[in-house]
Amino acid sequence: MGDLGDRLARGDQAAFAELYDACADQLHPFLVSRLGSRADADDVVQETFVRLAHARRTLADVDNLVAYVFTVARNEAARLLTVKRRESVSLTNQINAADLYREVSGDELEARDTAQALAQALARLVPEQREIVELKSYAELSLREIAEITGLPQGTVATRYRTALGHLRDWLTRKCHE
Amino acid sequence: MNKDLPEPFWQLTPRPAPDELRMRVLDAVAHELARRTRSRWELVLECTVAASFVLGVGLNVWQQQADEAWQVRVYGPRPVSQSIVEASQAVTSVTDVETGHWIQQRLSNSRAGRYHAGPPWSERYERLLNGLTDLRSDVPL
Repeated sequence: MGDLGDRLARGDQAAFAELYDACADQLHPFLVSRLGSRADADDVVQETFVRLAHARRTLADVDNLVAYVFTVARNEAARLLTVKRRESVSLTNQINAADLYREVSGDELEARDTAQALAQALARLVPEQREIVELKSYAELSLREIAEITGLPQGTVATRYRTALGHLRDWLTRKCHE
Repeated sequence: MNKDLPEPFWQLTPRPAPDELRMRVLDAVAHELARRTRSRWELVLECTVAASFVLGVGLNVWQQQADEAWQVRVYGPRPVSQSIVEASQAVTSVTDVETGHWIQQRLSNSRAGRYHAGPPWSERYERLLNGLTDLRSDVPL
């Protein structure tokens, strides 16, 4: 990644394509889950990379570029949500499973139900816990990386993650027994 | 999906970024990279022009002061005109010496101001050039 950081800092377009390929497929579902809209997620991904290109000279000194991209994208998503709140756009806490999981558009009924159930369970988590589950699940980041992105101590991240998983299991077990 | 979740759930596949987004993002990045490069050169050009202007003004002021100092050194202090001396004497006769001296200074300064504000820059340069030419002709080669 050190070499990639240097190439990014020099403004090498191929390096930006490489960085995009390295993280877009994890970043996009995370943003869809944050923003509740694929179109907004597209805009935030684009804005994130434009910002990275704008401040490219700082990228040579970044240790973990993927975590850095997530940090910038998270801030951009927060900014967009603030703007929408200011413009009184109603924001939903619900997640559309069809936006998030491939299985929802597939033929298997059981997989579709599972995807819907997980989307509902995630929507019931408090935002602080939900974000950590999203970063761990979609982005497959380590707890250390999540701590770096959120600015929280790693112990706090681990505790919130365990608590969130407990809530998810409880809710999903109850849902299965219904 | 992360395997910390109960089994049926980690088998779900998150939908990846749409294919067309890659091109859109990379186009925006290319535009940003091009824009920044151009504006950086523009900034350099603007700074150079501004620095040249400031340097030009500074050199002009310095040259003017040096020229005046040279003239004072060569020709001595600027003489006070007879009309100013007479005016200040007239003021002194009806007031006091201090007021007369003050009037003389004010009148001298205003005349010098008119001299500086007037057009004859070319005349001054011509005089300076003639002086230098005379000096050169005086020095045996």
